[in-house]
Amino acid sequence: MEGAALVASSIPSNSMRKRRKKKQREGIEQKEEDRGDPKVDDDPEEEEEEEEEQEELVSSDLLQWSIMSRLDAQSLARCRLVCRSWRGLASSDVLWRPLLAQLLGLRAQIPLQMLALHRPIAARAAYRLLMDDSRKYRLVSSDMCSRTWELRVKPACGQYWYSLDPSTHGKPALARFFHCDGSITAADNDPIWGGQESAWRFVCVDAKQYIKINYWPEFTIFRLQDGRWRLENKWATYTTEPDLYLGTGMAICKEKAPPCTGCAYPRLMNAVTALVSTSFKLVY
Amino acid sequence: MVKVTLKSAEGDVFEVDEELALESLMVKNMIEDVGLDSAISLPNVSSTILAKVIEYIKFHMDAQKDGSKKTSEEIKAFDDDFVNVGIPTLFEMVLASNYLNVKSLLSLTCNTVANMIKTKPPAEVKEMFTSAKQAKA
Repeated sequence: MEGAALVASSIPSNSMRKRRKKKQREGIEQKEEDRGDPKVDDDPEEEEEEEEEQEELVSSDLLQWSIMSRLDAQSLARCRLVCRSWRGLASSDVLWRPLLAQLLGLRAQIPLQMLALHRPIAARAAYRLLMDDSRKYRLVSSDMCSRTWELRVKPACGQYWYSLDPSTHGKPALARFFHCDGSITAADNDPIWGGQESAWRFVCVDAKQYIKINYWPEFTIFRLQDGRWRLENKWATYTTEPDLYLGTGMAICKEKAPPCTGCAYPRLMNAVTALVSTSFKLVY
Repeated sequence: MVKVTLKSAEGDVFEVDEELALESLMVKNMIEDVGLDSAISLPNVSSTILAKVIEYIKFHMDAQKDGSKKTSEEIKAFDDDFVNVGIPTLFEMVLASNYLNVKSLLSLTCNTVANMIKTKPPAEVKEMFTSAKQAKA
């Protein structure tokens, strides 16, 4: 007797479903059941689905916790297409949060759409935003204006300019800010800023996008593996500052850039409130 | 050596060493609760599956003992062979290892199912589950 009682208590999901089934047959409405739909009783198709669920091979808890948790993102996304009940199970935050954390560990940049969020989003949606963003290879104005760009001079510039770049002496790189009105600024305490770089714009050569700064040779646009953007010509590189400490999923916010009022997306600093509500940890 | 009596769903009786039985956390809890005097009944596990589970635990306990000559390849070969069964049996083993709370077997069987799902398009996954369901019914 005692053995049987133990058995019943150790498999709550199964027994719960049976109870629900019984109640349904008796036509009793139940409010506490979160998965139950009040319309279920009237809809014959839904009823059939419930019937199927009853004969499930493994309980949905076991399927989700033990089997789906072992899948990679691609397979998990495919699981959502198997049937209606799988769709719900395979969309859950519980499964996507570790995958998201793993992906964030490889990325240095948070997509701007994510920074602009004002409420937390599901882990799966966040994963998708990151993936969509990583496939982007064209810059838009807000990408240019919303981030701090680190300027590094190449040796080809000549000894004079090269030695002026603090990053060649192991110091932090020079910060540059692009604005949507086409101007460029630097931080107040910039050692070499004299207004040399005054204007930037997009140019298109043979359907390929480049950035033009002053009358210097065009900068080719690259996307680094970790999601950062890089502009490069023979004299210098501009690289976006990471929003995330690599490997930790923590965002950094620096109060360097003056706000760019014309941009649709907020600067990292303005995005703090939005980020706090999502799953990232912030470091100032 | 103390023996533990396990009773399957069909009522078949399996006598195993206590050490082996304790590998199942569920049986371990039961022994702690009710003692060793009576047979432990496992109404959710069929005789064939229970025999398989015992075989699995036995092999791994032997392999872990000092002086065991089994190489990691041999263990892997045993595991691969062990889960190389029909899908209905595999699911029954998932259920049994979950119910009996044998962590290593649960992870082995679930990994096998997960690997099956990984390589298949959604329609085939559905087909796999549906046919296994029919076979069970």
